[in-house]
Amino acid sequence: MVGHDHGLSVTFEVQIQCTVEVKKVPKEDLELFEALKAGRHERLDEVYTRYRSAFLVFARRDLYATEEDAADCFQESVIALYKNIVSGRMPELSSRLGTYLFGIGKRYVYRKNKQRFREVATDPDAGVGIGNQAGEDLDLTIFHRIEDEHKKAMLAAGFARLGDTCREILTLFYYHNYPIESIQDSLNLSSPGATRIKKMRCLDKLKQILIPPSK
Amino acid sequence: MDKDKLQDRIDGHLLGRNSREERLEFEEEITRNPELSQGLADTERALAAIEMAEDAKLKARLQVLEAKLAAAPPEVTEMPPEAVVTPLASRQARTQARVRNMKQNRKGTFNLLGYAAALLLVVAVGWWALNMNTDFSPEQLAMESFEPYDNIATGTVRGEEDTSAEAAAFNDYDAEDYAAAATKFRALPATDVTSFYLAQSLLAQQDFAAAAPIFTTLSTQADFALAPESAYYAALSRLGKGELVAAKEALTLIAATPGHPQAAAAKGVLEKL
Repeated sequence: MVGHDHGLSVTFEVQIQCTVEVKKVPKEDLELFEALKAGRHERLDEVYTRYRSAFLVFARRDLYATEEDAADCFQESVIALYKNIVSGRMPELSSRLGTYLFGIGKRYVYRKNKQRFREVATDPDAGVGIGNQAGEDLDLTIFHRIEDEHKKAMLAAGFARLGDTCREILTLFYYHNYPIESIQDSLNLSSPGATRIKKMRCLDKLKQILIPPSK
Repeated sequence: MDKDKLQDRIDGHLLGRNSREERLEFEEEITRNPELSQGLADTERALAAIEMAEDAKLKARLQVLEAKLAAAPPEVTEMPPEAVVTPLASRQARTQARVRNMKQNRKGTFNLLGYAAALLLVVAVGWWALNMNTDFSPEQLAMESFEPYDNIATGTVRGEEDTSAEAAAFNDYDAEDYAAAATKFRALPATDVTSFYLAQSLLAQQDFAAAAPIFTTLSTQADFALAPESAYYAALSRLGKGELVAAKEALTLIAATPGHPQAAAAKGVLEKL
């Protein structure tokens, strides 16, 4: 510690030494992370089972989620975690898997709680309530949701029209980020070249099916 | 730009495989290349459908798991005790994706492979002994070694009646009516894929002279995904024509090429030659 007397003021320099303990990521988390990164989505069962109970308690107790919503949000967060890993948006694991899961899950619960709040039933005779406030703008959320649902139904119907092999190839390539050689092996196709051609054809067919009606 | 190359660029962009510079270049090019821009929009729409479907599938699987776990709730800890965790082996067996781990190294699999290899050896020796004195003519050998390539170009849509001329050609091909298939493939606009299957249909009819030049041309197309396969079929066609030296040279090259999809088949033909 150093002090200087400048007459009217005194300046002190204080040096503080801190020791920060960096928690290592557990080996089993790293192993699981690498498996998910390689597209081993069947390992999601393990992730789910491992963290489910703790998350449900956390969501219900601390975030005031219903039992149903807590489970639903946890499922969404496991899927979101997988997609982040397999797409490369999360290239490495610097904390425990549970830390990421809880972080993602928390946001899903907040969103769910917000939706529930909007959907609270209003009684026109009750006076005060959502939707009854004078001058309140019409909530267009429901209209956007209907349009979204229609689009989703069109996409789902379009994809379902593809053959099993096509759906499998496109899902492995675009969703699970498999290289062509792994797809060839998984589906017992004859060569990487054949797999590439099949994938192109399947994608062309899907694009054709999904062309918007105005075109 | 070649359609496949265009799609490769779009895939690289959408799947995050591009470098930062490639990404910026791509984003700039979209603004001035309508073909690229449309291709991107169409692919994004397709990706949305794929993502939705797989999200729903994974969600359904986790919901089933949730129902099972909820029926027997474990104690509340971050790491549930082993006792309340359903054995993974049974769940993995049910939910195992159709992915074969290329690095799988299980004792049981090796034992099975060992037995299979031993059985194959016995069968091969038996076959060799029975066929020792058989003389193959080049045409016979070519046809003995030929198996029509699977149709990987159509049959993409479930239960849909595709009435296009291309579909009709492939229907005949699938039905092994190679004469009719060849006629129909000839009438189609020539693409690498239709040419490949035309040549397959010709070779299936032992029309070696007509099949050989088509396969030879396709084998030199760097952009054609089945170029390596075409080289093999070109070699078979030349064998059928009686061009033994040329066929042997081509097959030797194929057998010696690491990773060639037809290397094993080429080796088999060479052994008989």
